Amino acid sequence: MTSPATITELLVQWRKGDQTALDALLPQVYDQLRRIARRYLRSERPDHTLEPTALVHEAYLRLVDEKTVDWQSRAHFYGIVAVRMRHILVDYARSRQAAKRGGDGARVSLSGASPNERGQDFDILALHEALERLEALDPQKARIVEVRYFGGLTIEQTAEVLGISAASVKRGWTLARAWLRVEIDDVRR
Amino acid sequence: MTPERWKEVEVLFHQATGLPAEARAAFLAEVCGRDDQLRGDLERLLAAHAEGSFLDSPVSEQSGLRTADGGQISPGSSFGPYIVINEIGRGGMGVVYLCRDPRLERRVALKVLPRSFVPNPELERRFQREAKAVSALNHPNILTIYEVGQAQGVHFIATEFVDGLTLRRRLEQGRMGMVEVLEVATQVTEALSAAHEAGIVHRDVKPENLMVRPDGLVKVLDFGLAKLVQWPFATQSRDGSAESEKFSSTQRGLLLGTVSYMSPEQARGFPVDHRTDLFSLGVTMYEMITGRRPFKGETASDVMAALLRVDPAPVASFCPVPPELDHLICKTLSKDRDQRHQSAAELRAELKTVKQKLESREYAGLEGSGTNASPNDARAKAAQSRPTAYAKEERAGIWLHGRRTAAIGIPVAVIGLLVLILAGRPHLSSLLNPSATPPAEIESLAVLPLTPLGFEKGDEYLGLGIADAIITRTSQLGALVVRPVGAVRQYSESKADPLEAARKLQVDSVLEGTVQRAGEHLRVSMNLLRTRDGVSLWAGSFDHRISEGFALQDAIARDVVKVLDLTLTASQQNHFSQAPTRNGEAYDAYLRGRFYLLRSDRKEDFKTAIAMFKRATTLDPAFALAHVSLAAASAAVNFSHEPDGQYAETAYISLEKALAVDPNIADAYHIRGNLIWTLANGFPHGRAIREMKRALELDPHLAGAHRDLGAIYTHIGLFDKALEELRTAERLDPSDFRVLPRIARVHYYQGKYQQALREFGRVKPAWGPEQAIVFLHLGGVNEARGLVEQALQAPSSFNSTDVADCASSYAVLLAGTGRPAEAEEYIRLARKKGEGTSHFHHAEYSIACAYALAGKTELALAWLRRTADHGLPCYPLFEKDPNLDRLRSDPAFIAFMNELKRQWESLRHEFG
Repeated sequence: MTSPATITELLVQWRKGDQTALDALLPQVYDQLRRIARRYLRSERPDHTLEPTALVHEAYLRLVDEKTVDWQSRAHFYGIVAVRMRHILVDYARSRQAAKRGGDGARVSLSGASPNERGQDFDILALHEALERLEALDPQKARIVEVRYFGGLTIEQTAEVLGISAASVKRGWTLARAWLRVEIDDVRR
Repeated sequence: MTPERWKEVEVLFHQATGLPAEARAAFLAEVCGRDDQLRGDLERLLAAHAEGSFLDSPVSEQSGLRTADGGQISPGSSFGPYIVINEIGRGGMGVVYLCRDPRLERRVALKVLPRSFVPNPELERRFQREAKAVSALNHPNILTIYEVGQAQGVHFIATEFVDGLTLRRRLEQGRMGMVEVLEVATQVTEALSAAHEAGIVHRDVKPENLMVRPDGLVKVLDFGLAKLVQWPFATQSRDGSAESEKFSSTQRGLLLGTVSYMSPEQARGFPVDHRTDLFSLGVTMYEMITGRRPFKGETASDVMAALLRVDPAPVASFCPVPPELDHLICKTLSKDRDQRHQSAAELRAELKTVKQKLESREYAGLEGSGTNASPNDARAKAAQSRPTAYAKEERAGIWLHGRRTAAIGIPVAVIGLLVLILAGRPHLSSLLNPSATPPAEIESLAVLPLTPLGFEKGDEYLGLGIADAIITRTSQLGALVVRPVGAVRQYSESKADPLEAARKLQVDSVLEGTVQRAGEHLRVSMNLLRTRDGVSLWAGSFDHRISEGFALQDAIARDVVKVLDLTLTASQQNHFSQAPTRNGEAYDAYLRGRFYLLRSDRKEDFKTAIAMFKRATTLDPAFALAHVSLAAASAAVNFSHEPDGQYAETAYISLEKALAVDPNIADAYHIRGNLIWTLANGFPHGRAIREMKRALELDPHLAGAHRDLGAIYTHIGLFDKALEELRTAERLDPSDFRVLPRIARVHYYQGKYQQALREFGRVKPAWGPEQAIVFLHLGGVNEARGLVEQALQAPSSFNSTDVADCASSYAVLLAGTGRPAEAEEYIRLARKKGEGTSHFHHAEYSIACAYALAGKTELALAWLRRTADHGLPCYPLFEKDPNLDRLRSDPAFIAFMNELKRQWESLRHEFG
């Protein structure tokens, strides 16, 4: 396993503008995240829940020496994690669906995620697919959603990570959110 | 969806969300025209946007990803008979979920009381009884309770689901208008009245318990619920000191929130009756009007101490309100309940009276003006009496008892009367001012920057700032052509003879004056001169406090209007009577910002201006003109200095904020029209034209908007329309150096080269690139070469677009004189400098011409396509220009032109 020092160093280098540091950083973060996620998902508990907070947190604590990085670095880390997080959740959702096949058709949903007027939950796969369509149309907006929703970053942190103004993030977020909502509802109908 | 379409949707979406909900349909109808698809897309997006909190809490903050395995309250799970949809709120009384009731297929709001909450069975039974009684009232302003029960070991209350904001959220969104305040309060009294008659007291009226629906209907929540919870201080502690040990900080916050709205008798733990609700409503109204709570303190016990001992300052000390309303709120806040209104019905009747008065006054242009502008005797009296009134108030400091006279009401009434006279009876105004010269011949006015007398350093902004404000005010009237501030700012530093300036500015009257500062007071003397003979038509002096600057500009503008015998339409006088802000400090920051915005085109000045406007809008978020100026300054930095920065973004947002407050500010549409008309946005000509037209509907004298609209028409080949607009711009502001080259360009594009040459001859200093091409068309190769070479000599003084224009013109010249290889070199230079800049399309067109002249048909056509794609789809130019003649037999060119012609015809159909 890579030592926290190395990853911290890579993170700091990347923040300073060294793109190759990111290339070195990503696979390690991903590996680590997948390992932690697998352990969570193997959990024998009957109420079997995946706690993303714990997951990201644990990854962060394991990978990064918190004392030597500033909040911007932390934001960048979460920004990276967002992509992976999304895929872990999608994989998880697919496996749950497979497990439930033939059952009562329960779909994996995110709690607290949607005040859906039609009384249905939107599911993570629908979001994932809509997000893929948004990526084709406007990659930056898709990235905003990914970082905000899956990475849990604030507007300001997102601005920092994507290198755009907070105002742009806010506007992009508003539009992307409305668009995804329309997309997801359209598909369901 | 194509990327272009997406871009368009994006811009429109943000504009629409910046508008009040009720204005969106009209906006969509306007911008979408016949494009139903676009409108449909936007409508769906806006509906989704309005639904709110989608994806709001990030996945990492959620309690977990789970399947619906029951046992917990989570989306999709069932709770009692209900299916949980999601959490919609959290408060001291538990968590509220939006649920579906599958039995009746309706949505319900489910309030789940804290698990720790185990009420006294007797209290609970009484609550149940009351809940039923309240629901039985079936009152539109009372939230209907469907069911009170227990499930999974916790208590819950199921009620109707109201899709709206709590008054707390509404207050967080910004200041409420006086009429809105009265409307909300009246509806609450209706609810209270019905409940009180049924013997039910609410006990916890506060902004968190009032919901406002988008259609304005108010619902009162949680009747009687408060007494289910026994607050410790009510039963055991008079001094409240134990409280801090017993409560967590969150609980303390909740307690504080509740205590702030309590009546004195409630705080003491005495028995309460219906009049406690009237007190709490009084506190709520106080907060709606002033944005602050009457009784304040760091802890609940401090608040209670204030509540029991202190008389709050009257609302009128924070903002102008009708005296009746000030009095009414004082009465509701009486410590002794016998001194309050004795019933909700009584309070409601008084509220209705105030509201009716306010509405009728508003109609006459009264509300919203705290000025004391008034000419002649009335003004002199007001000027004498007013400072005295203020001095008294200042000495008094905080009012001990809220019996305050209508210090603000009197001058307001005077102005209202004057406006009525001015607007409705022009002949009366002549009677009032018999000395006025018959003013019929005065059609135009220049307001010169005021000359400062003995200024302290740092006060320079007042001279130009006040002139600018008077210009804004008088030009809004539309009855008089007022030179824009850009035309007069040159007289700010050098004192010119006013009549000479007037002749130069080609106006038949000029307003000049001086400003003197003495401490917090300003003395302004103004003189209105007739250019023809130098006769003084009017002179006046005004004394005002600096913080009341807007009153000053109003007073002057009003007198000018009167002297010149201008008749205002109803909407003009209405607009005229509104003070741009009531916050003196904000207004001062605004004046300073205007000074820096106007005095130069330097980046540092623009940035200082931006800082000032930000300050002004922070002090008064509803100060629309300051938002517009912030947009103007940001757009200026974006345009002239930092095109890649975030200034365009700031400008857009500021405009949205301004238009949300006041959708009738012409400048805002003008600025927005220019902002959107860029390469990055795909040069949306139609949209930009509509923005400019909207600006001109609101202010037909907006010279800059005529100029810019003319430029847009030129780009799409509507030359007659372009000339009409540009000529109007020239007439309104002959000093605008940007108009003449644009007029010349239209003639060049029309193929009227002689005329174009004449017009280019008027442009000072001469501008080479397009003039050179015109010379070339007329056979003047040497003149053309001279012009371009001269222009290229000093490229350092040009921006890269200018260099690109020069280089591409030179390429045309070289290609046209049989030197294609050298032409290529200059094309390379033009591309190097211009590619990626927003207005590269003129150079692109020249490159196309150069290739056409060199016989490189394919390249020429490719560049012509780029020209059209990049904002210059100028069909009639392409059709006529002899430089393109070698392309005309090419089938690809013919097909391209046919397509372009179709586009052009449809634009001509829409705007021609």
